[in-house]
Amino acid sequence: MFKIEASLYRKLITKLVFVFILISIIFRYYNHALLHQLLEPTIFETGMDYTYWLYQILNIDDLIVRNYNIALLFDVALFTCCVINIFLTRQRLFIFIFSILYGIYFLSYNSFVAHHTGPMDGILLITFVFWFKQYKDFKLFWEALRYFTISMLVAAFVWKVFIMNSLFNYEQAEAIVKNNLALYLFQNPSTFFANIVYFFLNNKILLQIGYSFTIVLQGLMCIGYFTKKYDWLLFCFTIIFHVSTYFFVDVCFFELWVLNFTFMNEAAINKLQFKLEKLRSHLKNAKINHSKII
Amino acid sequence: MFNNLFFVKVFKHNKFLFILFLGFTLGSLFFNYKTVETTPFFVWGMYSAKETVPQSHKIIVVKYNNSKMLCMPHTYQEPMSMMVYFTLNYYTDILQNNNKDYLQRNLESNYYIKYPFIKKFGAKLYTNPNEVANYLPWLKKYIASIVNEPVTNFDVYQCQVKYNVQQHVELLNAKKLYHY
Repeated sequence: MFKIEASLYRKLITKLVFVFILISIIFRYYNHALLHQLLEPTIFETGMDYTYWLYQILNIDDLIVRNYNIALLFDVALFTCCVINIFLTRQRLFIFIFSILYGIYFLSYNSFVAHHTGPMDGILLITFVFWFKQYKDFKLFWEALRYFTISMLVAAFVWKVFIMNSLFNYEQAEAIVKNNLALYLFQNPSTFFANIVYFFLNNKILLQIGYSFTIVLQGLMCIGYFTKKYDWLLFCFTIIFHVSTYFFVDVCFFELWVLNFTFMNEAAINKLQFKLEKLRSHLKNAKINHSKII
Repeated sequence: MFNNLFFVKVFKHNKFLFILFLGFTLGSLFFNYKTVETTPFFVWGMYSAKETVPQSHKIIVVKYNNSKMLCMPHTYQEPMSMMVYFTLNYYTDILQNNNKDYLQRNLESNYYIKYPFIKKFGAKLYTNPNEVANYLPWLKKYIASIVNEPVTNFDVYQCQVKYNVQQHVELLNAKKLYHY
């Protein structure tokens, strides 16, 4: 019932995406951020987000997050389901289950951290792509997600340039860096990185140029609305953008890179698959030759 | 020419997907216009508000087991550092507002009057006083798990710091907010 059309592209994309998600889950485990590691938290914030209201009304927090054993079972299920999806790429049942589990994790963590964080947004949305049975539906959804990735950064550009005009605020970069790195610099005043920050704070013009450059990168993402020829460039832009915010804004958005897979078109993936097959056969031949010699 | 447009392609192939994508696009535009994030209609306006450099900054410092400073220096430790500092900020906000979070105030002064049916489940949407009272014991457990050692006590300080001429951070004063 849950078998899908065979397609190499889809198979590889599914594998790549779920390997990435698995890394993200391990990263969250290391960070004591899986549900059982939250140790039955107390205060939470729903804000004016009606999806979080629904989450609270359905009592999911009491059923799962505030019960250590259930939370542990939940995390095991989340991890297992992700691993299964790496190997059984044709079984949509586990993809459905994973999407629901990840949705619950997303709402739970964001509620109890008292802040609706952005890094997991990409993973939340990307798994829905694999719900579709027909290859054409999958392809169209995948393309829609590519436009979403572009729009996300273009929207950030529009907010900074046209709505809030912060790009033209000379103090913007300095204010963000000083505000976000104050605790780090207070606790770690003599590290190598602290010295780099001091250098930039003493050369504010460089800081502002860097800030403006990253905003321009966000704006340049709109190229993707008109052509797919430069997708490799857009792929690099998002990496550069998030690496720079990692260091200078002290925010870790690497999980959003899962959306970068939407910039890898069929030709690029097939090329990768071809190289992998070649490497595999090469290794196989080498093994046969080696056993013949022995 | 128009046949190559994404929405035209989707419309021709699958009407359900067309409605889904169009709804998502319109929803995203609407909630961005309203500047109210409603998952999955995300608002990507972070760090877009104009900021000025203040004379001093307020930071939260946590010390545990009498003198050890809680230090999570790497940005990749964000999920757990947020769990400590963001919840502490939120807890402080609640205490400063007579044990009420801002949603409760908003519901009571606005939503309950306009939409009385929300009263039925309203209390489930915000942190109640009992949960507020259990916060510090929970934080002690959580700190113990991240530092991987038993924590007997901890103190939370609100420190006022400033950047000096060399751009180094200097402590101006520190006020103890909580002890547990």
